[in-house]
Amino acid sequence: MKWAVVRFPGSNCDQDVYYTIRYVLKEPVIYLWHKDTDLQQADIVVLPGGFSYGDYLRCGAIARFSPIMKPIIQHAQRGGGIIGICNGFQILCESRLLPGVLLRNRCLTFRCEFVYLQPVNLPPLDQSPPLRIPIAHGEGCYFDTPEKIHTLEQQGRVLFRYCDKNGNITPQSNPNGSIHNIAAICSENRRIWGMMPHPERACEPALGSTDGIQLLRAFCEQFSTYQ
Amino acid sequence: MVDRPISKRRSLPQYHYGSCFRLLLLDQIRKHHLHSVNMMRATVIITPKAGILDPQGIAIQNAISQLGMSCVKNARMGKYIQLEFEGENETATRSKLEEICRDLLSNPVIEEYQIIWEGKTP
Repeated sequence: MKWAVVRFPGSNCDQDVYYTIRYVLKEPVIYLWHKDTDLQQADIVVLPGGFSYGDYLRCGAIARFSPIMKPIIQHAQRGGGIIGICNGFQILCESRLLPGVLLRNRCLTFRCEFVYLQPVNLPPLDQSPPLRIPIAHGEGCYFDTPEKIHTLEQQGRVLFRYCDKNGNITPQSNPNGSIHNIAAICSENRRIWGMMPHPERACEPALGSTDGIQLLRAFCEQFSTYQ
Repeated sequence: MVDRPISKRRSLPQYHYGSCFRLLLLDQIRKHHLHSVNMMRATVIITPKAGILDPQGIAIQNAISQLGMSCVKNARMGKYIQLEFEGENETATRSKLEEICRDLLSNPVIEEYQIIWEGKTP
């Protein structure tokens, strides 16, 4: 599988993701620039974290109209794989490739810390203990209308929820005030994933956790299962 | 544009922001005259939809309250974008800006917008 990491002006997790895919997952990976108009036959596109276009207007709102987004949207319509991490998740929501919106954290502070994530609707991962993966964002409060959230839950498209060490989904373990403790969701065909946590920052023992690999492997699994 | 008094301006949109704010805003707009008759100015006001969580508004309300003004019962924070246009086709400009407001300037999931137009009105 060929991966591509998109760099927008202001992306700052592009090298981390690239490193993880190339040296940890050991998969072929290329960089794409936001002005590119061709995905170079990539199977999976990663929109990395950062502050694309300085987060001006709304996070991800301007990146959505980058030239690279046109082939990415076509890629999505063809059933291609896309992972949006942090700012990438915000861009996917702004592009309407994923539903909902990410609001300013309810606590108003930028949260940069390890959190626990309970996998849901992700066999066999949802039987395992919660994953320990860091977050780093100021606008990660997932929100949508109650009807849309209901649909999302009914379709089993919530992938991870913030939880405590023991996997209990509590208000205290919710770092940003997301509805239903939602940390990650996917598209209807389960091949577009958006998440606020940074799996690429938890892929080597030196980083304090290797749970991010499990998350990325779960994506690869779903990607090959759901055609 | 001839700077007509507020009362004579036609097709003013309906506001729900309160008259104080409206007067302040129009006053500010009137300070900057348009350079030519061919120009139009649009002021786009983006506000969170009713019922949408606005943590910044809550923080502002709390701060105002802490300054001794405990009668403040609600605060909502939005954005204000001023745009100037030059060109012949007024109708096209107006409808294009509506489209841009929906696609780019506001996120219809959480926000609503209003446009105040100035200049070139028939």
